[in-house]
Amino acid sequence: MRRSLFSKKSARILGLMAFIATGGGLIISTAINEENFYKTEILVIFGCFFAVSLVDHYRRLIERNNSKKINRRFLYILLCSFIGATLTWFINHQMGYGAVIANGLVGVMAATFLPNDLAGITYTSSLIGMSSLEVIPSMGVAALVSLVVALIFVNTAEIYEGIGGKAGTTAALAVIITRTIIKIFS
Amino acid sequence: MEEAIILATTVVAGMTSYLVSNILKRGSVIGSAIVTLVSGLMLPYFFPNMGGLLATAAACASYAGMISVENALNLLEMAVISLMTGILFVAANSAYIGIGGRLGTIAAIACFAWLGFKKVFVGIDEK
Repeated sequence: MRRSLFSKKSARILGLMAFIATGGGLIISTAINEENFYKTEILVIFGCFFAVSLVDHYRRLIERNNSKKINRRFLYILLCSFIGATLTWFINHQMGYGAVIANGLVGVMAATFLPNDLAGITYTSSLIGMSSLEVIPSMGVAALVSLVVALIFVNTAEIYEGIGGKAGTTAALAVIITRTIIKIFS
Repeated sequence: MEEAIILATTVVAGMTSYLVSNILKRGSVIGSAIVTLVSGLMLPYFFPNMGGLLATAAACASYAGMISVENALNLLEMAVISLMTGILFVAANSAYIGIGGRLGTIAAIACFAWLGFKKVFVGIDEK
């Protein structure tokens, strides 16, 4: 019992750290590279409020012991993740409809035909398929990222609960992790 | 002028997504996806020069519109969050280029920044 509670807490902290790294990375990298002073100023202000909110969110997250259970039908999650990512990538790059239409189309289909939790993971992984060809050059890589996103989703869904953009952050994190792994092994 | 159109687009998109998700109670995925799809189809048609950029901005705001009603209490709050998303979209347009999920990350930062703003200035703390 104690062991499982510890694991849950560790998973929460790790997930939150990953979230901070993804969001903070975007703010910091833009602020450093941006030549326009006003844009940098805006980013710094946003970054401050982001940090304040994260501290508060972390406190609530630790207090929240009996959080809502996430349905862990992992095989279904994996399958939906795979379909979401590859289908979006196919519509985006092979059919040439573009990232926004591909994402919207897959999202509408997922929300129509699937239950809420599975529609959520399908829409999340669909964001992977919006990546450019330089980032995800083939459907095989999209499938690999979909596996990573499913793993992240299962472990962090409760951390980002109720926050708009959690799907995108999860997808961006998965893409960055997979790219790093591919770079290491290639 | 271009920035003003982007900001207006994000406000409309974010509010529409929130309306479908939380007020009409159709679910956050359909709320965001329908806004993304419609903007992807319509905006390039009505704005041939910057339709693609506007559709991307609308998609970004629609992800912010997936926020729960506990975090954005009403449409007015959602309008502010959408505006913040638009500002961040314009300011951070050079970051994470080509990475899927970039728009969602921007939306998440805007949502968290709004919650942080409320914490600091408004002092709203439900719990």
